[in-house]
This record gives sequence, C-alpha cells and structure tokens, in this order.
Amino acid sequence: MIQFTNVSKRFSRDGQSFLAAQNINLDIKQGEFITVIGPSGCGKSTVLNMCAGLMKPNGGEIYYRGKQVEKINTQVGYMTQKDNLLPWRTVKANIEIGLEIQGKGAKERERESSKFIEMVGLKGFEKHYPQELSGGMRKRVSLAKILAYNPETLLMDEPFGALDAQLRLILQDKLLEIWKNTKKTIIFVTHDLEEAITLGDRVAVFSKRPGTIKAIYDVDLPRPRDTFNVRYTDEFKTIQTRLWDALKEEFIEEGNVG
Amino acid sequence: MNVGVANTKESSKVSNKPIALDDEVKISPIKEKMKLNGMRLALLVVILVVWELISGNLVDKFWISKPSDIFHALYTWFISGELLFHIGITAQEMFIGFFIGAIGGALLGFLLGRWDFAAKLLDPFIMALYSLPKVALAPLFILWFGIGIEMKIVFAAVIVFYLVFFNTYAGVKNVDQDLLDNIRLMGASERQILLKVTIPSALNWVFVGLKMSVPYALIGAVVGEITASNRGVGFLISYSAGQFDTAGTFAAILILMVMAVLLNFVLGLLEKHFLRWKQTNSN
Ligand SMILES: Nc1ncnc2c1ncn2[C@@H]1O[C@H](COP(=O)(O)OP(=O)(O)OP(=O)(O)O)[C@@H](O)[C@H]1O
Ligand SMILES: [Mg+2]
Repeated sequence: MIQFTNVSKRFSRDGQSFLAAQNINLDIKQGEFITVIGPSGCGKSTVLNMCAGLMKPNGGEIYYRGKQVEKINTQVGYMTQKDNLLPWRTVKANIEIGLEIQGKGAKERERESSKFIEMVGLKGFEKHYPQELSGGMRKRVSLAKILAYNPETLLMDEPFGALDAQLRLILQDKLLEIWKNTKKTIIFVTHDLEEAITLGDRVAVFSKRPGTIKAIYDVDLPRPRDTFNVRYTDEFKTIQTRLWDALKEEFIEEGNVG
Repeated sequence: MNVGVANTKESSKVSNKPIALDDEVKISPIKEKMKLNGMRLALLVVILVVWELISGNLVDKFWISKPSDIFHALYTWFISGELLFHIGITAQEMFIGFFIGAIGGALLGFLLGRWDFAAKLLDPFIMALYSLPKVALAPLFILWFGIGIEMKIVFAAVIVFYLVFFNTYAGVKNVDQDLLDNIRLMGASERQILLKVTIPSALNWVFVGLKMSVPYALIGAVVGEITASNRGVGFLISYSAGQFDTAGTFAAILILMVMAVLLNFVLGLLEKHFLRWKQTNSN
C-alpha cells in the first residue's frame, strides 16, 4: 500500500548539503503495523514527512495506493513530534477539528471527541486551552485528535515519548485495539525498543545519519498481544536481543565519533 | 487497564484541591494593592496641596495655575454643558476615525498578506508613506476637508490605518507553517484553512494593532483639533492657552488624560475577553 523505492533526502545549510536519508526501500502492506526505530537525527521524521507529502524526496519515489505522492497526502493522519495544537481552541475543539473539516454535525463531533477524550484520560480537561496542559497531556490531545477523524493510515512520530511508563502501556493497548477494529495501516516511530516490538508486525531499524534502513525484523508474536506482559515472554526476549544487537552498533559507532 | 486513567482523573481532582492555598496567595496581593493605592492617593494629595500652596506664593499663578482654579474651570464647563459637548466631539472623531482606519488597515493587511505579488509591488510606496510624519498631512487635510469634524476623522483614520495594516500583514505572514500543514493533511479546503487557522492566528496580531492604535486615534483627533477647529478637547486646550487661561488649559489636558486612561482600561477588558486563551498562559 505504501512503497518507498530508493528514496533519499538531502538538506542544505550554509551552502553545504548533507543526506538525511538515503536509499530507503520499504514496502508496507495494507493493514500493517510497522514500527521504526533508530538513533536520534537519523531521518525518521524526515521519512514520515515525505510520506505525508510535506517534503519531496530528492531521489526515488514514494507510492501510496499505487499513486506517487507528490502533494500533501490527505489519506494519512500524521501525529508529528511537535503537538501542533491550535492555541486558541480548547482541548475539545482541537480534537473535533478534523471532524469539522469533514463536515460532521455537532452531535457526532461531540460523541467522537468525548469518546477519545475518555480514552486518553483527559476527562475534565475538555475546556482547557493547550497552554494549560503539560507536555504529555498535549501529546494525548494530539493522539485523540488524529484518532477522532479516522484517517485510513496513521503516521505516528514518537506519540508516547512524553508519557510515563504506566500510561504508555495503557495507550499502547488502546491503540492496538483501535488498529484491530479499524484495520488501519500504521507507521509508528519510537525510541523504545520494547514498544517497537510490542506493537509492530515488523520493526524497521534505521542506521545513524545518513539514515537508511539497516534491517527489517518480523515480529511473529501472536496477537492479540498483552501490552503489559508480552515483554516477559521468551519469544519477546529473543527478538529483543536480536534487535538490540543490530541497534547497538549504531550507537557504539556514534559514541566513538563523538 | 483503567488504573492509569483513573489515576489521571484523580490527579485532576488533587490539583483542584489546594483552593485554600490559592486563596491565601491571592489575599496578600490584594492587601498589597490596597496599600499601594493608598500610598498613591496620598502622593497625589501631597502634590495637589504643594501645588496649591506654592502657586501665587513662590511661582506666579499665571504659569502653573492652581488646582482649585482648575477644578473650578472644570466645574463651570460641566455646568454649562461645554464639557460633555467637547468630549463628545473628540470621542466621535476618534471612534469614527478608528473604525475607518481599522477596517481599512485590516482588510488591506489581510489582502497583501495573502497576495505576495501585490505586497512586493506596493512595498516601497507603503513604506514611503509610512515614514512620512502624519502631522505633516494635517494642512493638506484642512485644504481637502475644511476645519470641520471630517478632517479629524480622516487624520485619525490614517494613523490607525497604518498601525493596524502592519500588524495584520505581519499576523497573516506569521501563521505557523506547521499548523497549516497539519490542517491541510486533514483535508481542509482553502476556505477552511483561512477560517480555522489563518484568521484566528492573525487575529492575535490584529488585536495588538488595534490596541496600539486606539490611543493614536485620540492623538490624531486632538492634534487635528489643535491645528484647526472650533470644538473638541484639543480646541479647548488651544483656545484656553490662546486666552492665557492657564487653569482652563490644565483642565482641558486633565480631561484628555482621563479619556486616555479610560480608553486603556476598556481595551484591557476587551483583550481579556477576546484573547482568553492567551490570558490563561500568564496565570
Ligand atoms: N527542514 C530541515 N532542514 C534542514 N535539515 C533538516 C530538516 N529537517 C531535518 N533535518 C536534518 O535531517 C536530519 C534528520 O532529521 P529527522 O528529524 O528526520 O531525525 P529523526 O530521526 O526524526 O530524529 P529524532 O529521533 O531525534 O526525532 C537531522 O540531522 C536534521 O538536522
Ligand atoms: Mg524525529
């Protein structure tokens, strides 16, 4: 459903240009949950930006449902690293904006927004403005916002990064449930190896900059997965060890350079 | 599974609890404020008393008048109805000028903010007119519009126009690109983007422009009146001075001061109302 073929992206600064991503090849099936992990600054967000059509690759092509992505891709919902909430809208109004754009009536908006506000544990904060929330709370509002308008594909850039471990497990569980019920395609960027394994059908490991996909691992843990306990199983640990070996090198080399 | 969610709910309750503490914190600032205001009042009284005493003794009354004379002048104007008449004229010029200037400035600022080519084309002309001291235009306006109320309205409008125009333009230009991308991805039409992101975001700036320009509208009206007129608070000032009536001059200036202070106060209230989401930030 989403194909990256030989995608590379170059940025320039002060007359010098450098590669942020190179030779990305990735084929994502419809309904797949793929997680992406890699060192900071390796180009993960850049890849998502290109997939959303916010940036153009300098080389290679990206196809979405067989069509090349050349302009903004409105089929995907993108939860960026930055929360991008509208400061003049309350929590509730922020969450409902996607539904407003779709022209949904007030009743339906109300129903959807309250469902997702409940889900992310922000009941009682509906009338608050983004400035009155903590970083983690704002992240949860962005999550509710993207889920509420129900796009067919989700691009999620470290959605749970700012949350405490407990809440993170709860939201992982809810996300898996939504994914199961809606059969969405999800690309999920994370820094947390356990999270990557718990959620993904496959885990794509990025090398450090210029980022390229170093390896893709299948996670053949049975579903539905129990996000609280799956990490204690032997199969999980086997995968974790294998992935960690691959990931470790990227950090060790980086450490040597620095 | 609900444990975590319940936890966050609870934490919201916990944060609601320390109301007593909040009140405590609030009481002392109020006390402090009352104390401060008391001292300000005392200072004012001292100044007035000293002024009253030195006038006619140390300094000739002709130069600095005398608080009691000033209040007497005010009282006479009030009784004769002149006070309200002149205030009314000035306020009328100011508000009409303000509205014309503000609407024009906001519209053009918005248009040029969205239409890059026109903005580039007009840039040098706009800047040239902007750098011109507006007072220099007063004689021209007298030529065009006479010395009636129209001239002051136009004068105030021109000053307000520029302030609102620049702020609106900047506001439209400074809409966060990430917010625009974000709403585009959700499939918003150009119209929806305009209504849901661009305008609300620019409104913040527009309001700053409006707020800045209200006192300037007053300045415009009064400068216009001082230059040439037979009514308005500015006229009261120049007329009294022309009659060597120092008390009247001071009285008229005092009226102007009170008008300006009241205006700022009302603006503060309006801002609190319209930019509520922003206010919460500073609390
Ligand atoms: N708009 C841009 N202009 C110039 N350089 C950029 C831009 N966006 C990203 N980069 C550079 O590209 C590289 C990859 O950035 P990217 O944000 O994709 O990293 P990332 O993998 O998402 O990192 P993190 O995990 O820290 O979020 C970085 O070196 C960054 O400095
Ligand atoms: Mg990133």
